[in-house]
Amino acid sequence: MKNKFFASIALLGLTTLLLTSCSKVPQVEIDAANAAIEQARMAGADVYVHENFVALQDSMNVAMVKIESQKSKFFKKYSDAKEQLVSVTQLAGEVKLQTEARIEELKVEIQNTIAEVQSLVEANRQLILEAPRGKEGASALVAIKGEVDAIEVSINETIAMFETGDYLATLDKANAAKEKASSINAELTEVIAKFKANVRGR
Amino acid sequence: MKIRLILISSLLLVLILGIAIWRVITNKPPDHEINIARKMISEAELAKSPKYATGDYLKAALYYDSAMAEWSRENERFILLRNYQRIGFLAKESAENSKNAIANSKRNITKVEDILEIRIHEIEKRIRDFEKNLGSFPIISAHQKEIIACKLQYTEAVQAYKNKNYAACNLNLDSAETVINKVFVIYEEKLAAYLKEHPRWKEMVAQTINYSKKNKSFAIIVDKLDRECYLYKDGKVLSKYTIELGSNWIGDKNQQGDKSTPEGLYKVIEKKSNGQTKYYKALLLDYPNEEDKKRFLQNKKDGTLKPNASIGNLIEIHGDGGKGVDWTDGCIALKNTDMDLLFAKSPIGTKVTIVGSTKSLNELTHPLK
Repeated sequence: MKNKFFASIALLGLTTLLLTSCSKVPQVEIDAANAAIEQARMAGADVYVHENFVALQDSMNVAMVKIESQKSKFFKKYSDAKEQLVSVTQLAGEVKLQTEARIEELKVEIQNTIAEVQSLVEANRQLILEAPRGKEGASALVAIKGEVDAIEVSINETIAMFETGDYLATLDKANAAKEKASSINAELTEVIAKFKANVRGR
Repeated sequence: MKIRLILISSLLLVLILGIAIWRVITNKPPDHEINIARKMISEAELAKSPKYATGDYLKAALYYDSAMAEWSRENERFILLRNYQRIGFLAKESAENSKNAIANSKRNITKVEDILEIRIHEIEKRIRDFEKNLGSFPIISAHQKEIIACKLQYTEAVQAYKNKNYAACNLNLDSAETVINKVFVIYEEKLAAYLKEHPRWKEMVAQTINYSKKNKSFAIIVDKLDRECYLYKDGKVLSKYTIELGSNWIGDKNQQGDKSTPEGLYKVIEKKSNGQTKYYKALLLDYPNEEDKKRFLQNKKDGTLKPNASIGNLIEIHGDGGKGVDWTDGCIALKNTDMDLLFAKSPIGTKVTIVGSTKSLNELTHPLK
């Protein structure tokens, strides 16, 4: 009887030991998730897809809370946390891809805008040549030519900025140059059209 | 004996189990508090707190990290000796700071937006005022380039504002503001220096108006700064016309080719109708008058003008104006329709007084002040 009792206690102890020590913290998965998040951050996710990156970080935090929550228990089970971490690693990969896609989108938009501005600058220079000469036009044309030169300088600065990888600020600069160049183009086109109409009318 | 031993062991086991169960029930892990703190940190980040409510956000993050670290440390201890109370407190502090961060971030963003909007409008007005009041000043090439760059930077600032890139907006506004303030000061000083002649001009204008009143005649007053030409009859303004001048209009005319419009007391000595002038119609003035000749000779004497300089002539009030720029060689240009009216009412001998400004620096409703 005594032996059976002590055998039962020993069996209980062994079972407890087995159950509590079978579950290990999924460190491999934690490291993989952290590495994936870091890769997404290095790709610029916090800048270019900020909301998605915040959601990604939150998912990681959820996983870590699950782990600590399990560590708090007598009988630990990390399968849920492990699944969460695998999901985080996958999500980080997606966020990285989204970042890269967004950056490509921006780069294309910037390059298109730069090309548009360069084209407008050329067109404006041609329009300046066609604009009515004469004393009254001279000083106005000097001012316009100055503005066209400034836009050209600005677009060269934009190209340099593009190389630094600061795409959001670069796009703003490019769009500003485009707005100015377009306005000059419209002004010159109107002046030339009026001048031609006057000449025809004489 | 055996039965007593078993009984005591069982009682001990039940006691230990009871204590263990009680401990587990009363010492709950801080899942709930930590999850709330976690969600709040996330919301704080979405509300841009790291940038706009940095202090509160950092506190929230610190409390959260401390809570997680302490939780991890407690979990290393023997289960019955763990104490999660402090972790719950840290998590609550984190959530509270996140809440403050969110509120402060929203408030600060609104403040930043308001400030930037005001700055954008102020700088836009400054640029406009400069163009309106000082844009007709002969501006040196270096300053013209700076002003052009300033306007471009202003446009960039507006773009950045539209895209909520407030830091970039602020930087561009700083650059634009520095330039426009600098050129304002320079040309405001030039204006002030130019308007020192105002007392003399005021006397000339008064003299001309009195003459018109006394002799019941027409008279013309030209205000160069305002680009206005006033036709007087019997000492009262009959009509007003917008004019264009030479590109170097500021100051008196010193020599032929300087593109300056002279200042002084003149009269109409010839009227040129359509066909007699290439500028539609013209009123020829008696420039240079005696004062002009005296000044010209003095300038040559003291070396201000070259020995072979010529004083110039053929200063007229003529048509073909309305171009919106100063384009003449020193003449005063009007739109043809205005020239028709002025021509009709200006017989030969009509007094023409040309001054820098009919208003003093104080009278000019100066937006620079």
